Amino acid sequence: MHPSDSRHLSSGLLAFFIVAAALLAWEAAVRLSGTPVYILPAPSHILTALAANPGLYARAALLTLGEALGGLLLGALAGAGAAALLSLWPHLERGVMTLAILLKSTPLVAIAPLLTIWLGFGVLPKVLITALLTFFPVLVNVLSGLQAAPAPLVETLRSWHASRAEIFWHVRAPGAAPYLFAALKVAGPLSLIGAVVAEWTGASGGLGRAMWLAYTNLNLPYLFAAVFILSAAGMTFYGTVVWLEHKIVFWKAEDAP
Amino acid sequence: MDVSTRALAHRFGALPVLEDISLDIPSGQFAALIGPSGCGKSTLLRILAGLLPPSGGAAALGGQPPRTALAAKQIGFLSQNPALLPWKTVQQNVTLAQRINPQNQRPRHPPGALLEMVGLSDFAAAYPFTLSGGMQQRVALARTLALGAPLWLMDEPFAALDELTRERLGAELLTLWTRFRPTVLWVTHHIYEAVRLADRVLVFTPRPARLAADFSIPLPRPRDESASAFQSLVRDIRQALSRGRPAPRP
Repeated sequence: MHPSDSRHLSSGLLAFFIVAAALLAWEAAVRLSGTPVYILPAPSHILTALAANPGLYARAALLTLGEALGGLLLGALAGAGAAALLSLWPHLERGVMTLAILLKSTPLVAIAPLLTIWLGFGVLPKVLITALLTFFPVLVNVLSGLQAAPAPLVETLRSWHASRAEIFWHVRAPGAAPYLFAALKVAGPLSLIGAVVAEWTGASGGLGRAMWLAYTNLNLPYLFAAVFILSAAGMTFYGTVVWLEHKIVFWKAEDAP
Repeated sequence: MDVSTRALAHRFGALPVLEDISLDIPSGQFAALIGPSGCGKSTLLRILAGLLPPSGGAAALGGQPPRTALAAKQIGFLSQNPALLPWKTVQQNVTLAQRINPQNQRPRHPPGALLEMVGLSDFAAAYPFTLSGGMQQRVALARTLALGAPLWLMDEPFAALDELTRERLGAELLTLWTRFRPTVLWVTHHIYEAVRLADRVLVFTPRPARLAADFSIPLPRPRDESASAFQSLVRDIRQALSRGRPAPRP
């Protein structure tokens, strides 16, 4: 076993124990204080609610995670694509960035009901909200990655009379990969927020919808069950991004272990 | 490819870095450019490489403007930074020069032969970050060979390496130069190294750089550093270098 693997493993174990200890403390606090379930349910209560309706939660999770992933994909593609355009045609930067910042500064919670009114209770408005949320961090990060190409590399290619497209393809784009992953670490969890908040404004299904129903009935174990799934999904998103980064940006990992 | 400049001058804003450089370097000559740090030698090299338009005067490579030679991929440019793509293997880095601007391709050596010339046959599939600084510069050298360029502009490519590695790479550079006979303009700080390798040593003044002295090195190769002719050349070049400096305060 590689030494860094065992380090990985022990830090993973540590994280597991910390989460387990927190849940146990929560359980104990609720039981000892006799807190009513409509204020704060114990974790065991929440897990029971989850286990009692596996099909319902699985369908809801599938829908919400699908919306989040679809929106993330769309937002990331649009963000990276816009960054590529701006790096190839820098004179566009000011105009496009002003638009992007305007978009970023508009509270999406305010747009979400509008999109629901225009586009209905289906999947499309959720995907769009999520895409709008994740677009900006990807655009900003990837653009700085494309612009951060090391000068000696760019100059070497220029000394062979490389075209702008060749420099982009061989130097800038691969060099921006670490920046893309940094953006995805932010945008991954954001995509879940986007999908859930969009569902709150009106949806025919999904975890956000389930949370909304549980909330109006003050059924807190059901509400928390959805939160647990979202937390687990957020961690999985994040972990997947880190894993992909390790695989794809292998030269950085070896550079700075 | 011969290199000539006429009254070449350059300034960055108000700061003059090159003044009145007129040079003629015949095709196939190995010329060392020596001068104090920051004097403008690198700027001269970048102008000759066609990467920087000069503020004044003219430069010609084979009778044509540097941009023409650049467009025809006739210039091998090496700097202190080996400038390798970290996500490409050694072999992919070496062949990169052939894949860029591919319409200007000369008959070329297979990548295996190129790696053999720089002693890296066993490292074709290695990534640059697994190699030492000296090996990375060998990869950069192989990449320059892959170009088949008749002019090599070298901006202290071995300066960041340790003494022994630098000496070994210098000797190998000489072997490659003997074999392919490109014109070499080689910026260095080391007087010994310059006298050991070059046909000719051009000494520059501190910034703004002017040509302070022009030595031809008539000694046969391999050169014996302890020979008196070698030593007296080193002494003369050192003197020319220090004459160019402002006099030390008493």
